[in-house]
This record gives sequence, structure tokens and C-alpha cells, in this order.
Amino acid sequence: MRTGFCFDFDGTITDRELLPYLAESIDLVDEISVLTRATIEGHLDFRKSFKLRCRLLGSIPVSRVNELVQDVRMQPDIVDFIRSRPDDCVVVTGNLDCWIGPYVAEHLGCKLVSSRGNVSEDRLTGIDDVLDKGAAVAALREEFGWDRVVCIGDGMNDVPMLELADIAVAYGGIHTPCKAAEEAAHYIVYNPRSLCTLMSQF
Amino acid sequence: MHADVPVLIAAAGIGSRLGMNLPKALVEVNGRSILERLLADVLVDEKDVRLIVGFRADEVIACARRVRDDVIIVRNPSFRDTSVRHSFWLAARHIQQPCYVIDGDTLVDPKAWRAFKQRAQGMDTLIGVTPSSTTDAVFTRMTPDGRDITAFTRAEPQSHEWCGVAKLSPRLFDQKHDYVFQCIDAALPAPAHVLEVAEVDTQADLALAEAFARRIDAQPRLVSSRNVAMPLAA
Repeated sequence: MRTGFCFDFDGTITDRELLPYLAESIDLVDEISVLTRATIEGHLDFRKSFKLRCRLLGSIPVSRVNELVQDVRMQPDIVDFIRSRPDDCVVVTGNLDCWIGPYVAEHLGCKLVSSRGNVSEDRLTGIDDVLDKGAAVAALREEFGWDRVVCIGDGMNDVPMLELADIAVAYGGIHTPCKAAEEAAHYIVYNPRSLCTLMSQF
Repeated sequence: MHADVPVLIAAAGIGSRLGMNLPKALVEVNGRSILERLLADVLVDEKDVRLIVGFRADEVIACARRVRDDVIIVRNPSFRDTSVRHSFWLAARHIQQPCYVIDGDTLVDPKAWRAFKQRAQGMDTLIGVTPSSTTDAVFTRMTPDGRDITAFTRAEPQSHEWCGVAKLSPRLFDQKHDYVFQCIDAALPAPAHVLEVAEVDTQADLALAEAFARRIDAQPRLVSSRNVAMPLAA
């Protein structure tokens, strides 16, 4: 049986949410953090909130974002798990390809499915597509021919992929998963080692 | 092969016979909940602990996380309409190797657990029994030498009863029986191990469990690899 693993990125693989971190460089931390928190908790629609946050962060040159992201730490146990089976793991994120694509390719070596940003002269000029994680997981299942899909996430925008998963894991390693993610999940784990213990048996 | 033997704790039920509107795992005996005692004292050296939650899940999870953050939570959203067997199945279906199961309403003597685990090493099946004491017991019929269980019976009282602690093949829970002991039946005859526990099904059981907890708490504490105090840096 071939099993695929779809991981949320921000706050699941990384040990912090990236957008508030990027906001530090342009002194908009509180503004972005409020929006991020409200979005994770499901008070704001992910698409609208994400576009708004990208508009705010769009003043940072894309190459600078790529540099900043290099300093973000990832959870080593999860990184080891993905690197040990890169062909069966996919990062499924609402974050932008132009911001995190190089980082994922370099450090995880697995496929990335993400929202798509429009870049012109090193500036983010718009969002082409905000990822629907449910549709993404359905397409990945076809593409890879997986018999079984395990999805791991924590936020409101992870719920559609958790609902489509054969095994849904709400992950609270960085912050407590939103209620809807917990309720869509078969498992809830709060520790990266426990997550890997669980996944290694699938 | 996965190195650590998974331990499954069923704590999803409503505990209607006890009538405290509290998951039985959260019932306090001698000042501490059964779950806290299981996670902090009994399973302190177990690395793969899976807790099945349902009724008042948030409180059960919060209790577990106060003790340790590495417990894997398994959700049983249909806890109102399903049995302990179903709870164990939810946790066991993704496990390939023999695992320990413990009923979350069962107070276990930490020393007795260590002896049980030691005996179970290298065995696929070991069934915990305890001298009969609870109301509504599932009795175990044993071979004359007392080594093996040959059958479970509710009708004919025996010296020992099934105590809710076992090492088992996870596939036993694939059988769609109502009760856990009916699933274990397929593995009989199987070795039995006597261990001291107190199960809390009714108010009468609770009084026995209180006395049992006081006895455990009076014992000198076992030193665990997890709880060894580290000297603080000056």
C-alpha cells in the first residue's frame, strides 16, 4: 500500500508562523499577528486574510523574503521524516511559491504545492491563486496514485485537506490546533517526536 | 519494526454506571485522577502512549498534557454509540505490532505494571487478571496450574477476573464484538498474569479504589528514568 503524507508548512514544519516573522522586518508585527491568529482560529476567511497580509508584506523585495526565510527553524524530527521519504511527502501550504519555494527545495527536497504569487522586478505584484488544500490533496492523490493519504495541519485552511484525508492528524507542536482542525482529525499530537512515532507506523 | 511497544488507554466513555458526569479516567482517588496516575506513575517509561478520548475530550486531553506532552490523542467522536472495543480499534487499526491496552478507569500499581511488562517481553499475548472483587466482573477460567486463561465467563464466579490490562495483537480489535473480552477470546488459551489493580465502574468500586490508592501512595516511590532529578546549575 502506497501512503502519501501532506504537510502544512507554517507552524507545522516551521517552528513559527512565517508571515508575522516577515512582518518584523517592516515593523508590522502586531498588525500581521492579529490577522494570522484570527485566521488560524477561523474568525477570518483565509483567502481574504491571506491576500491582505500579502498586500502588507508585498513591500519587502522577494529576494529579501527568501533570505529571511532561510533563518526560520524547522522541527528536526519532521524534517528527518520528510527527507527519509521525499517521494511520498508533499508540503501543501497557503504560503507563496516565490517566498518559500527555494527554501523547501533546499531543505526538504520534496514537492511543494502552494499559493502562487506574481512577481515583477523582485516585488510581489499580486496573488494568482490562493491554494484550496482540499482540491490540492484530491489532485495529489490522483497524481501520485496513493492508496492512502495522511494529512497533517493545524489551521482553518487545513480543514478541507484533513477532511479528505484517510488519516487526519491535527498537530499542536507550535500552537494548539484550531477547534475545527481537531474535530476533523483522527489523531491530535502536540510533540514532533510523537508525530513521527505515529507516522512511522502508517 | 517499531521499537517502542504502543500503550493504548481507553478513556472515551461516559462512565454512566459510576454516575459522576465525569470521564472515569478523571475520577480522583486519594487526591489524584486515575489518568494522572497512569501517565505520571505507571507509564512513565513508555514512549508511545495513545489515549483514546470522547466524552469531555478537552478535559481529558488537558489532564494528559499537564502530565506530559508526548501522548498521542486518538479521537472517538462516536463515543456515545460505541464501546471500549471500538475505541481500542480506532487506536489499534494503524498499529502492526502487539500493543498494551489499559482501560482508562483502571488504577494500576506501578510496581505491578513493571512486573507485567517484564513478563510480557517477547510475548505477543499476556492477559492481566486480578483477584475477583468488582461488581459486574468478567471472570477468567484458568488451567489448574493457574498459568493460562481458557475462557471468560460472566455467569460462573471464579477466583480471578479480567482486569482491563493486556498485551495483545492489535488485529483482535478488528472483530466487531461489543466487549473487549469477546475480542480476546479469539486468542485463548493465553498466558495470564496476576496484577494488582482497582477498576472503577460503580460507587462501590470507587471505595475499594480509594483504599488501593492509599496503599500505593504509602509505598516508597520508584525511581524512573524520566523523573530523575537533575542538579540545577549554580
